[in-house]
Amino acid sequence: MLAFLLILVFTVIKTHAQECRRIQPIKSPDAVEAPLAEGVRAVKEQIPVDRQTVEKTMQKIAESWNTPEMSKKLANSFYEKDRLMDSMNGNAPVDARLRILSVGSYRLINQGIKSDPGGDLLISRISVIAKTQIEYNNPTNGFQRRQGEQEYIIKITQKGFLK
Amino acid sequence: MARKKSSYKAALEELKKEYRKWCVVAGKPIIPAGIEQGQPPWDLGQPPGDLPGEMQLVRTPGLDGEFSYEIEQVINTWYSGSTGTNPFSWVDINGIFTTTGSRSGSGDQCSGKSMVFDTTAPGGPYAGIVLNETTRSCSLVNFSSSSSSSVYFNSLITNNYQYGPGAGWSGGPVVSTGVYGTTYVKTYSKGSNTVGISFKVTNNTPANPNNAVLNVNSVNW
Repeated sequence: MLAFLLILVFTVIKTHAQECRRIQPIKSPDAVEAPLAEGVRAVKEQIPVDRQTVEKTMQKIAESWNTPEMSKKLANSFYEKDRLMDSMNGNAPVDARLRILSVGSYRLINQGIKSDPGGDLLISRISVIAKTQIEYNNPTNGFQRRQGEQEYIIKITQKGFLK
Repeated sequence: MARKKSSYKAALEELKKEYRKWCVVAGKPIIPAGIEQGQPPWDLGQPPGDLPGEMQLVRTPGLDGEFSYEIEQVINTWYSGSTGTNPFSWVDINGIFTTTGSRSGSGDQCSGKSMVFDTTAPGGPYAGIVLNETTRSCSLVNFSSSSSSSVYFNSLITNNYQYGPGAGWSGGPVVSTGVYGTTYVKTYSKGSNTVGISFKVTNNTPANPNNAVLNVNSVNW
């Protein structure tokens, strides 16, 4: 009888120590969760965005860096956009340029279609890994470069894609 | 001894047979004689694009379709970490362009400038003001090069920090305690040169918990 009671007690303790495995979602940038645009309907099946378009986009990003076009290419939701532009305007030398050293892997995060009189627009949110290098000339120290590797969350709108 | 040698030779031959059976392609030498024609040198490894996720050289081909883009977020990759420069981070932009004094070669490059620095970086000092009495110029530097700072900033703790003159400079007083957000006007000297500096260090923000900012209002020689 005593043995039975002991087994029962230990069984209860063991049961209390167990818990169901919970799903712990990995935190991801807010931009990923944001809607693509107003009036966008989801695609039934994702349409691949070709590598050439992604690479061309990265080149355009580099070309617009430290130019008046730069702020236009930053989404309104870009974190501390004004602070970045203030820093660029206040500190970056005119000759500072951004070079894309390499474009690595990319993945389609989400995608949607928006109706437009000129043909449907395909809007794709993409994550791209790229190696970059800031280059500028320092009057004292000469040519300077600063490398880095970043993940870019970009929204590409392809016009007339689904006519 | 002779028996041991013969058994060793026999074993070696067996091993060679097995190697040829499993590892050698017909017509190919057992050990590659060199780089085959048209193949990249060995130290270059796999050609780009052969491995998933591998970096590829950028090509700039023409595009068939019209497209536009918008940048929503740019973050350092985990393996880039704090060492990589993010061209879309205001902290990094301030850091690289204000610490090197790239806008002009001499003169006062500190007035009105600010520099963000990482309060979690190992060691210290964390930030500094370098004064050159010969050229009467000034630059802001981060912890890695501030050991020669004319004025250094160190021991950043919750409510205050310490600052003082670096090697060869005097004034201050020598080690002072500063309160975040308070503007100080201090005079430092070296030889016959005296310079008055107005500065302020602001503490981190919830958005940037590891960063503090050194603001230099003015430098007067």
